[in-house]
Amino acid sequence: MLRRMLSCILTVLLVISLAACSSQSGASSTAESSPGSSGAAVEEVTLTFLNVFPMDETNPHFEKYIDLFEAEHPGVTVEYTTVPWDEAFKKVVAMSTSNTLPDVLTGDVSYLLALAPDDKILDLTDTWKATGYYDDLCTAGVQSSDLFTYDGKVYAIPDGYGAQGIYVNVPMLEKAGYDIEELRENWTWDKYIEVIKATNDPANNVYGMAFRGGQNGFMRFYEYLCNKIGSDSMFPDGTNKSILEHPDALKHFQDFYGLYVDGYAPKDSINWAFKEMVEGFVSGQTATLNNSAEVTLTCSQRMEDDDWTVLPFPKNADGSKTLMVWGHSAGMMVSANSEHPDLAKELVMYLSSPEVNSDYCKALVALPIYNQSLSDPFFQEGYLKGFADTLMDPNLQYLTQPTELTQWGYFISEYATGECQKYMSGSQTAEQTLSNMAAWLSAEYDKDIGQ
Amino acid sequence: MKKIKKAKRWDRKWEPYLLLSPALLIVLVVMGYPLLYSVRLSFLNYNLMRPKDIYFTGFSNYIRIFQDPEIPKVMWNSVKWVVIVVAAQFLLGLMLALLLNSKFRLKGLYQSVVFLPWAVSSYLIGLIFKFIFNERNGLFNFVLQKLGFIDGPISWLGDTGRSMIGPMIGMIWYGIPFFGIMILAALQSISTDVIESARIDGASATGIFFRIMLPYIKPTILTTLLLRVIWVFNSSDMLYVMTDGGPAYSSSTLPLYVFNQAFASLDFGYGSAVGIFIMLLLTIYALIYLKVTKYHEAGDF
Amino acid sequence: MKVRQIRILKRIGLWILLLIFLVWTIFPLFWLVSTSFKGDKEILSNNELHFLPQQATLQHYQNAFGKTHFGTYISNSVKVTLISSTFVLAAAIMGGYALARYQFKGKKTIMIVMLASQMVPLITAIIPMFVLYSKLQLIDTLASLIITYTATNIPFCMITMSSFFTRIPVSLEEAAQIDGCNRFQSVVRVVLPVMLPSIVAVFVFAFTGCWNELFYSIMMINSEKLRTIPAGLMNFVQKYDIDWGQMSAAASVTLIPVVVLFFAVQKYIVAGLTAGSVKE
Repeated sequence: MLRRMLSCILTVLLVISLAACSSQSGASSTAESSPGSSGAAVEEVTLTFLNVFPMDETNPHFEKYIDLFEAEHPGVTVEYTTVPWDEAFKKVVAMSTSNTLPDVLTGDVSYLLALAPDDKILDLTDTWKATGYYDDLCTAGVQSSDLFTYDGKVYAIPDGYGAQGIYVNVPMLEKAGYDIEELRENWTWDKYIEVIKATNDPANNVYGMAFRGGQNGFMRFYEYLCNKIGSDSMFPDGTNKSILEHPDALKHFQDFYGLYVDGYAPKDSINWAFKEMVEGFVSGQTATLNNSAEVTLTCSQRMEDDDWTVLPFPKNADGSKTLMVWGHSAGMMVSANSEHPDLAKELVMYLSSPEVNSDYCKALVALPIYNQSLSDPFFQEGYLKGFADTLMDPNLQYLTQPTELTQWGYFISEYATGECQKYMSGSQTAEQTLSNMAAWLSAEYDKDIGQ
Repeated sequence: MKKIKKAKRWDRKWEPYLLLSPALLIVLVVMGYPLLYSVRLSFLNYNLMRPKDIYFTGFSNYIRIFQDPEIPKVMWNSVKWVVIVVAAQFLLGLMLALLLNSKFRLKGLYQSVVFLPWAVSSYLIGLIFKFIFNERNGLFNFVLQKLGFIDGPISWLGDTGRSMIGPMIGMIWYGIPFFGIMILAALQSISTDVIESARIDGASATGIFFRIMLPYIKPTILTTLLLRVIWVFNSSDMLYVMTDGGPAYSSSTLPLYVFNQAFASLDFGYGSAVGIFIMLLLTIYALIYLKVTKYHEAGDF
Repeated sequence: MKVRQIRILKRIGLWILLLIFLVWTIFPLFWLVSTSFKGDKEILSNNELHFLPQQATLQHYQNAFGKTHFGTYISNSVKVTLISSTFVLAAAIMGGYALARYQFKGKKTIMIVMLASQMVPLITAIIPMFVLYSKLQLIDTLASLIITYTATNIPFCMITMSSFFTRIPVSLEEAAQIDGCNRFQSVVRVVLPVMLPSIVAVFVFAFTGCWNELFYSIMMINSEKLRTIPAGLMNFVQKYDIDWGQMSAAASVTLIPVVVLFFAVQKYIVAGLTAGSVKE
């Protein structure tokens, strides 16, 4: 009995391992023979491309244009691979430590800041300028250049821009007596908070807003505070004194986080990050959602068209400039350990050329990076027009993040999240929370920039 | 005659090492190398964000562990996590094994169903339980409301006092079959004659359990408990998926805390130091455990 | 009469407990399967909840298997799992036997090494392991997973196996040796057959340990065609939303092979010792 079972298992294993071997060798042999068979002069090159930001909407886009690129470059094979966003950063860090980064990879500013200081990715400034497109970079891109540069050099080619907007559940706002078009006219922070409070109905499990209490939630408060006190950076004086030490910071902190503490957001939202907020809004648990343009995709798939719309980012009541953080979704970078850096750069330039980029942005529902693409009717209609107008608004100013602090990414994803959650859950006072965060920022400022 | 015996003894001397070599080799290479690497990192100022700033710092990474204001809370969470989860897994698993040790119809089918949780990926279980413990439309709230225990939905994952309950239940659900299988396999190898003769001698069911079964399965229980405590301590999938340690670290255990901190700050010097610290804690635990349970007498060491 | 009543009561008690365990086990899985048949709107509704789908749909199944490479993931998982758990089993039987039957120098050290390897937290292991594998050119191969899974599962399985061996009386082997078997033959022909249930149990542990592993799989594998099931499921967790419908559909289907395996294998665990004939 045992012997029969063992021999069974062994046979199965043998067959499997044979199958595994043969399929691998089969794959490699075809790759070697097919394109190069016509002329011996063609060199076989394989580039690897890692997309950390895979989406059902954009994966086919990359595959399509990579095929076109391969067709134009005989002998070149581009392997398109992806990794789920939640685990992507860890994987890229591991790859970077072992110098095994793929030739081309995507990533946001936190990737750039983790890779550029150690020269793990290549300076793309000259390459980009040589294409001639560089000067056509849209205003949104020019203003937020700190997101794709390090030390004044370009390390990532941005993919597409999205502004923040306030998504609203139309029936809920109408039930509370608001007219959407009227709101659009006079859309200020005070009005926004008024709407949150008016639509709040916990008895029926409906809340005014989807609060971001989890990772990077601090960014929304940072934006709010800057607009309230009219500062366009974290360290406006050029010293280690951050705006968290501003005399009015405490009041604004209490107002903003008070929205959660006073029950205008679901209790669960203390842990919410991007996905959970979107789920909260789409399912009808929350009446409003402050989020970027890409969410229109999810909303249009999961909600009735008449049930939702997007209001612009709130203006300041005194007419002062609106300060907002925006950015690209995931820029493209070239690894320093690439064996074919020129070809890798060529691929990046091709994938970010105006036509390809415009096509990508249509799939992602984001604004393209070049001015010439913005005139495409697609970006002048519907929700995107709202976002395009927002980003073109002369009264809008880009709010910089203190990315010169090497631990800024840690601050917004971990430290500030933990501190603010302590306040939100009632285990720490507002004063203590603010002073902890201010002290942390000052110490890091001293470390990185000096007094 | 004497010569043959000697030759045999010589062979025998090497046999155990030979038999153990495949296991030792692979474990030492795959786990040993990372360990040595980490020990080195733990004495360095090693932050990937400051690549030009790597130097030897002595014990300062270890000293930081005791200055970190979140560590005491996070360690206490780890203790709660391990004690509650392992105790529940063990007791319910033992109960399940005893139930399965009796005869009933469709036992085969029943058995394969109740062992099923063990075959589900713990990430997937985390996602399922996150969905179930959702405040908005979670099954758990729904059932409690239907049964009249609560009036309105409760936030299970967003409350500092309750945030560990959901992940704990998920983890218990996941681990019961494990203990069940282990103990059942041990119970099945008890000779039925022994139990029969005890029964004929008039021993009660509880008597049979405590005097015959328990001593017999004790080695299995001790080994399993020892290893499961270590394993549950280090296992943070469920917490990572359901709450990511929040809110305010209320559901963060030591391994999860250092995992999140290290990958957010890229400070692998400190991360490695906490990793080594975790291993020291577990070693101390293992030594005490072995001493207290007089493990070697149970027959394994 | 009284004895009979007690027996009936005991029987009822047994059935009630069995039922409780069954409901407790099935509920989350039932919920997974039920969700897989619900429309997107129903899955993400507010306030409303139904045990069964209001309007059952197969859409998620079509999407999950039409748009992704789930067939490939399943075959990768099967390969990796079967090969690694066989290695684990072989190493565990050999090592477990050595630990149980021999007295030798360094036994304690070996036990400590095995225990210690279980204590290494993920954060300590992952980066150096990645560096090691990339030096060995193992990144993005199924071999990297097979090696990792074998190494991480051996210690537990080996220690467990050794505790099973200690329970088998030495006299059994000695009797076989008197009959003319050498030590190896006596183990293979007499001891292992007796231990079949334990062997199956250990194999199942190794199997589930490999089958479910996610983090190493995500870290080590880049290519779509080499992905395993748990990593494939994570594809449905995207940056902007989780596709609960497709994920539960794919997860439900991938549970089927495991149910079949458990059903096939539980016989051996249950089989136990036939009539207790080999006991002292």
